[in-house]
Amino acid sequence: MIAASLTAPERLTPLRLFAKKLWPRVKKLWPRVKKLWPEVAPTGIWIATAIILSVALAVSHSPLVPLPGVVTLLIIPGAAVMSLLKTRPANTAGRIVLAVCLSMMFIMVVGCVASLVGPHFGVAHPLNPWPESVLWVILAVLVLVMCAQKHCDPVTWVFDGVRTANITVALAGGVLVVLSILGVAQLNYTGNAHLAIFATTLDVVVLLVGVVGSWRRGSQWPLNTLLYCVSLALLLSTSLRGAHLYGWDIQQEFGVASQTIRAGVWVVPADHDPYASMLSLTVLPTILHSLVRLRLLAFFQLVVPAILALLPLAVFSTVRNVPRWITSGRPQPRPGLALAVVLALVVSSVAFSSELVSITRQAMALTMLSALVMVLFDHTILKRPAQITVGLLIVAVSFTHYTTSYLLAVIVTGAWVVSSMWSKGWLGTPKARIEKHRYDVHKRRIINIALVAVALVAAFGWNLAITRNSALSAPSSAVTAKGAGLVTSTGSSFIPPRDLERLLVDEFKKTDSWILRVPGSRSVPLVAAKAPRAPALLPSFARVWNELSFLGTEGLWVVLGMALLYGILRLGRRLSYQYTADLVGLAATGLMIGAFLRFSGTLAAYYSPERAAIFTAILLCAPVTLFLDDLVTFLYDAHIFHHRRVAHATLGVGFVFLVVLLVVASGLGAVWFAGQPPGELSANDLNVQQFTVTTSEFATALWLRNNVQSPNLVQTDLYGQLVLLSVPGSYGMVNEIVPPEVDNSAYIYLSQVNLGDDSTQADVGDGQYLSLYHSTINFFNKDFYVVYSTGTTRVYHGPHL
Amino acid sequence: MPRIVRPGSSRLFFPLAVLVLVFAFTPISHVLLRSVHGSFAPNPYSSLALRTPSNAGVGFLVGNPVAVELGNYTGHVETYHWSATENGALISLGEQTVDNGRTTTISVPTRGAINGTMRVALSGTNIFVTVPMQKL
Repeated sequence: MIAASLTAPERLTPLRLFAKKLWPRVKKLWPRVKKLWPEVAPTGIWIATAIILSVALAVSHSPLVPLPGVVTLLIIPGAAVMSLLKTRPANTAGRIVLAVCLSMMFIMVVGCVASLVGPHFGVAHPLNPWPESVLWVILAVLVLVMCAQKHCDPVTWVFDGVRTANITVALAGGVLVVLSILGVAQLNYTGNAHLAIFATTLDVVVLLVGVVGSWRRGSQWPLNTLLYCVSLALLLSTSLRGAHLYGWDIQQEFGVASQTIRAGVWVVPADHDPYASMLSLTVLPTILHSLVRLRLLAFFQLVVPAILALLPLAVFSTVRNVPRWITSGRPQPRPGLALAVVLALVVSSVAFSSELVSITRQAMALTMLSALVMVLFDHTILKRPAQITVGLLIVAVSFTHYTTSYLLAVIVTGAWVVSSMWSKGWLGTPKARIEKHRYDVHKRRIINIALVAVALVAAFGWNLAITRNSALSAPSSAVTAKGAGLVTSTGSSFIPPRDLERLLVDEFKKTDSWILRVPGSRSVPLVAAKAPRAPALLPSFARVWNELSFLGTEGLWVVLGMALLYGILRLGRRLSYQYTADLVGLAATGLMIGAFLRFSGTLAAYYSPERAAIFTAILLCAPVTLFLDDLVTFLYDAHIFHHRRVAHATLGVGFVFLVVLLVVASGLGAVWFAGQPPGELSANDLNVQQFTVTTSEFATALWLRNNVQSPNLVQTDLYGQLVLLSVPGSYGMVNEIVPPEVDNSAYIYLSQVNLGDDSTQADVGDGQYLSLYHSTINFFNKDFYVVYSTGTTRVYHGPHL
Repeated sequence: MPRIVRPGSSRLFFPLAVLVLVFAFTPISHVLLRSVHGSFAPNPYSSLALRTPSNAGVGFLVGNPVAVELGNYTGHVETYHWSATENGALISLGEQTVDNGRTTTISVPTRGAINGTMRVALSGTNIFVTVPMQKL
């Protein structure tokens, strides 16, 4: 006994420590957990099911392992924020859109805070899997507890009332998505575009049938699901094109994201890189990779299109339901008409159909913008929660895409000024109605000075004060030097190679005077090359088609202007309860900004007019729907038209207008009549050459990154530069290989297009002038050595001894 | 749970259908892709590279072997036949088997080469590297 008492005290293992100290506390808390659990059981079951499903898929080696986790991460956090703020859009589609946008914001904020705080607590790589897993388990418990105490379950908040018809249609709509994926797989592997063209044609037909089929008021067609499935199908046919990523900006975005994953932490970029300043390109894909093993390629090829396809859905939710300012007297717009407006202004826009899927930061930011507009005009959300949600989305946009953030700040400020004037009745309200007008408008105004301050502080605070990125430097310098350039061209022009060479030599004298030329390089002839062009089915209609498509796309600006004027001068003055100050402010400012960016030749080099046009379209969809709905009602009710056939013929013209827009946007017009088909409908056209990356090209980029270090120089043309943006190295890069501008000790990368298609592309003046010429392969063979080769790509290095 | 508006056993049908689709995704997708002759698999390729590309501007001494990296990303094991020539004259040749997804280094003998450019190529392909040779 005495010997036993003299032994060393018993050491407590962690498990015994837990059992001794914490278990009693857990037992004490258990009744409270049991009481709160039913409040959040659906969400708890959802999370548990996602985890179990992920494990089961991992055990069966399925490629879908990340799917349950991605869906959970992109819905539950946002749904929790919505339920805590008591913000609930009118329909399920709107709720899903808002949940996804708020989830993205939640993930980015968590990742940013973890990156800033983690290193101070000894966690050097807080975005790595283990730290993130621990963090998100804690967050999940906290959120569940908070929601339980507020008696609001996130999953129920978003999905309550889902009908089996919705699920059936979603599964049927999935067939369109599958067809689209199979089409691009066939095109990638065999070069056969038939299935891709069939799938795209079917998508367009389904949309048009939806417009016609749901024309009557009160139609129950599942338009939300159809719209989402078709949009996703069209976007995936582009994003999956090629062996890597399709497009230009997306390559650099991939490079920035992969660097963040390797680092395991986000830091304010020392080189003021705007891409690396965006949490949407750094923190968001890194957390999805760390938590659910989502490959980076899958994020850009699959997840971002799935998010972008929510954009038209959000706009449709906005215009389909009765806007917030209507108390009585105005029926909902015809569903088919609302769908037609969204198709014409959003889905058919050049940006949505061709560009945004390759500019992922703007894709995510514009989806958030569309959710913001949806919340502004949703009649089921109370004023204060709507203002808070709008404020959160404005802040989220600031670290998602810098340009959208700046534009949003300008638009919110302008909208507030215009709406202030409108609310005072200074924009044409009759004096007899001013008092009532002012009372009605003030009741329904969401945008206030606080939101203006939030927009300005968020945009300029994040981009200039916190990250100090250089996004504004080049455009502001250009405007200072050249003015807005409202009479200069907003597009690029092709010029002969010799003219381009002269311009390049002049440009390089100023910027890269250190280049040591290869002797005799000036005498290398440049022979113009033609861009490849797939034969059209009906080339004789090319000229008519080009005129028609130009009139169609530019004619939309006329419709936008008429809709705004109609709203202000008729609806607003005579029926002020039908038009809010927010609607007037956003629409007027959006139209002015869109028109300025449309015609500014200087700014077109930095922000294409098409990207600005979709911004305007999102803001003006509601006024256009109101205008056209009244016009259609007038056509049906007017007694001056003696025959209903006249009204039908007029509607038929509008339908043909819509068909033209959809055929142009989908690329089918280029396939059938003329022009360069988009990459997703063509095996080997200029767009395919410019924007697709092959396996061997990606391998060559990896080799350059691993074998060529600073201060060496890599030179390539515009075709070759594409993949190098995706795999950035420490070497310097010059994107010209015109012989007089080739440095004799550089590494020269020739891509598959340069070697196989014998075509080289060069530009000068920030893309203002372009040229195609036959590749000068003999020059490189004579004066350099081949240091890397795959047969379809080659890297040269010199100088020749 | 959120109400899915439909009574009875119909509620179970859709979760079961989704589960079946998710777990049967791999075989279903393989069948569908084969039926349309489509694929998302990477395109096969092989590669040749100088082990020290920076020496291309300096030169390699005749008599010293030149290290060349041979990469196989064709999807299967491949046996490569390589040859080193200079001005059409054969300097050396060899054979190397490489597993899929691997890169191996081959030492190319250069005895018999002269001042000039030696070309190391894979037979039957357009894959080659060129090496500056210098005699002391």
